[in-house]
Amino acid sequence: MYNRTVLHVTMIAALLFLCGFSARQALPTALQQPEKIDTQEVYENKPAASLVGEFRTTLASYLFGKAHEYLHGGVIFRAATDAELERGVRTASHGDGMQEHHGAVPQTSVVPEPERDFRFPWGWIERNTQPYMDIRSHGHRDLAEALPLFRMMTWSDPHFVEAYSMGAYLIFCAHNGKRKDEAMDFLQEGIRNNPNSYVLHGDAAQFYSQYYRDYERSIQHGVRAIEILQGLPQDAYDPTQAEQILNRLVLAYRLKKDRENEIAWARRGLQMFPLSPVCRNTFRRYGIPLPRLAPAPGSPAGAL
Amino acid sequence: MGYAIEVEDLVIQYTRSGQETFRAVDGLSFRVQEGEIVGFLGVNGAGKTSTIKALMGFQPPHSGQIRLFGAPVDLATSREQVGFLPETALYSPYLTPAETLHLHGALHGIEPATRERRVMELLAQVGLAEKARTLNRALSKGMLQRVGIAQALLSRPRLLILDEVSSGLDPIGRRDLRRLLKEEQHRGCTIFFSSHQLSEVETICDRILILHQGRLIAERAMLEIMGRVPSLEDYFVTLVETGQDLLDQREEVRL
Amino acid sequence: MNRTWQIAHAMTVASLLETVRRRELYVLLILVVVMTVAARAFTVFGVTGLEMFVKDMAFTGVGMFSTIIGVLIAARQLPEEIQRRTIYPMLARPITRWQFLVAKFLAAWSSAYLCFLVLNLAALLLLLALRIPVRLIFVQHLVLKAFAFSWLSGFTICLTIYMSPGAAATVAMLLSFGSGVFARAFTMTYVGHPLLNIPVNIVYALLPHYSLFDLTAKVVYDWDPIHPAVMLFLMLYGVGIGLFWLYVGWRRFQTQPI
Repeated sequence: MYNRTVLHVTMIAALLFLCGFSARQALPTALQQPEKIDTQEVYENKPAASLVGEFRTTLASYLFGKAHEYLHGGVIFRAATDAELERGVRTASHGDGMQEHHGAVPQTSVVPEPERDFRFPWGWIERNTQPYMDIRSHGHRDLAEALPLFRMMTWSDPHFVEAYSMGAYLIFCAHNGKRKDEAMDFLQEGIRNNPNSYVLHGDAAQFYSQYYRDYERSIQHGVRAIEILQGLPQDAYDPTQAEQILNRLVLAYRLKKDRENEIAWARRGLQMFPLSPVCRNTFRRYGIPLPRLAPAPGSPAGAL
Repeated sequence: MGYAIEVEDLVIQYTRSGQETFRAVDGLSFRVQEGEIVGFLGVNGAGKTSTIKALMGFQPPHSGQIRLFGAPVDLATSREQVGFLPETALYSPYLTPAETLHLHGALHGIEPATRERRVMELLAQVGLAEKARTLNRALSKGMLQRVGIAQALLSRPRLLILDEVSSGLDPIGRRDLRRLLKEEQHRGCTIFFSSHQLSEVETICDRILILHQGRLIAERAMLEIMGRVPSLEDYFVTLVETGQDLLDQREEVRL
Repeated sequence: MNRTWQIAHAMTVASLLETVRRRELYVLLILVVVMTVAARAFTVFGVTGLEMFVKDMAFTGVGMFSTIIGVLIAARQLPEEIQRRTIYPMLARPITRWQFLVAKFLAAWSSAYLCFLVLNLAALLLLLALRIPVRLIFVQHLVLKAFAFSWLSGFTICLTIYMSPGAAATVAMLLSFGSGVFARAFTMTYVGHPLLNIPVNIVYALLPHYSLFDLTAKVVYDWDPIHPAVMLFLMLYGVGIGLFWLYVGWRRFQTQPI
């Protein structure tokens, strides 16, 4: 009996030591800023860091998926295939203004809707036993239920930019804008952990402009986002998102009544996005003819 | 009196993938009368266990017929009056001897009230009354063999088929077993058992069957053997190793 | 029939005793409690509003562990008896192999379901203690899972007759955990064609559908109870498919040398 107890205590101690050692090995990548440390090198040289790091990102991704499920009462979505889109599959759209969380790709539910389900009676059974709803113009559960998950996923992986971006948006939406400071704190934490993320700077620019009417800070973040974008290759960013950041920056200057900079940024914006309505509107507002622009070399953002 | 066991031209063969067919039992025929104690002898691999498995319906024969009390063994009812002890069965480590016997009693269809009485009686008989509520995993191999003997006797069978019955038993256990088997015989039970303990066979059996390479090479009453050869062991070893039946030689000399 | 029930009852009692006396149920019980409490423990760090997450962790753990234990219990029913050589004195009784197999099936089924109920009870009590409510659909979940274990037990026992216990357990786990994934892949890749729909539907019906019995997600997200007709269909399907697999196993077991 005594021997067994000693064995168990020894095993637990060994396990704790292993956990502690692994955590310590993983810490540099978690706590230090990406630009100060070569993350890849740490992962390559320290297996424990790689293993724990993998676990952390996997956990964060799992929680992100869960958050999506929570918002839809357990209904699971997936990207619709081209064949399904051709057949007119139901795709997700919103009835409550929560537009942002399904991304750019049309999504459908994993449980097929009755009119395109060949399975009888299995389809009927599945639609009854698994969470299922008509995903067109769908609503959402109380957003507050999903918020703790965003807190957990950013603890698990502080470099999970999408979690900060979506989390801040949900905090704001969940409380009808009453907790905008909380949302902004969350976003700022994301920026501190990911200073080179154009997405988070872009979000901060939008928050300051739209919810605080603080155009000065909005411009600071917008400019920083554009600076980051300039250094990225073309396939490293979403052009739609980049155009939105640029448009917001131009609008922030307009709302700040800084005509000179508004025109300057609209001119630079048109080089990247020649059809941008916001940039074109700037020239139209002030009666200035649209500039003739040479095609931007390399990365469109580089042209800015 | 009828026959408890009838075996006619029994052939059991195994075919392993990529290998030739192997005949474990080759044209075996014998009968066991009710009330007899018959020892089933043979070296390892002689075909004893295969035959016993066929007797119990565990091993479908390639050809031949087996009847227990006149009923074909493929009928479940043929086993109603049979008690069986396999070689070194390790009863569930998570049950007690009493629970093990209750399970087997229920499988046999013994009524709960009768079962309760019979279980306690048998556990006392095999010397396990004090261990009735101890988990099987805490019992020695010999004790588990006693549990096995008790389960074989549970239904008051008219035929007992025992495979290597004394395996794992200490000298006292063997003595108790001999006494128990004799008591069962007095009750009218037929006993058919395989064993390598020839001294034990000598003292218990009425008759022996010796199997070698799947064939029956001798079928003798113990009275024929006793006093005419030094021991059963001498008879058996000579027969199996040289193919000479010492009893036939004596008869030849006498002639 | 009475005799079959008598045999099944005896075998079930023995199996339940074994299940309770083995340590694995307690280990799983501890794991469920640890998972639930750990999920709740985030409140210590200031994360509030985790009710849904805690419930999700608790019932996901219960579903996962009970499936694992259900497979393990069913996978050892026959092989362990053969390995211990205790199948001989059992089949030496005046019982048919079909009766033996049905008894083993009911023993595996009831033991697995007992584990499921114990784990669920622990999760429920824990959730109630944490003031996290559970809705009426939970009762349907408990009932329906009984029939899921019929599928699982029959299928796994059948597999142990045709393959080694390890392989049987692996295949059973893959199909029970993966049945939902297979179904999703099927519905996603099959485009649909009027002529092919009937044969494809038949093929689909032959695939395992363990995941259809699982109301965990609806319990976690507080959905309304499901339609009684669906319950009835799944009950009949569960019993039918369990017995079907048992019959497939018996076809071989009845003449199999032991």
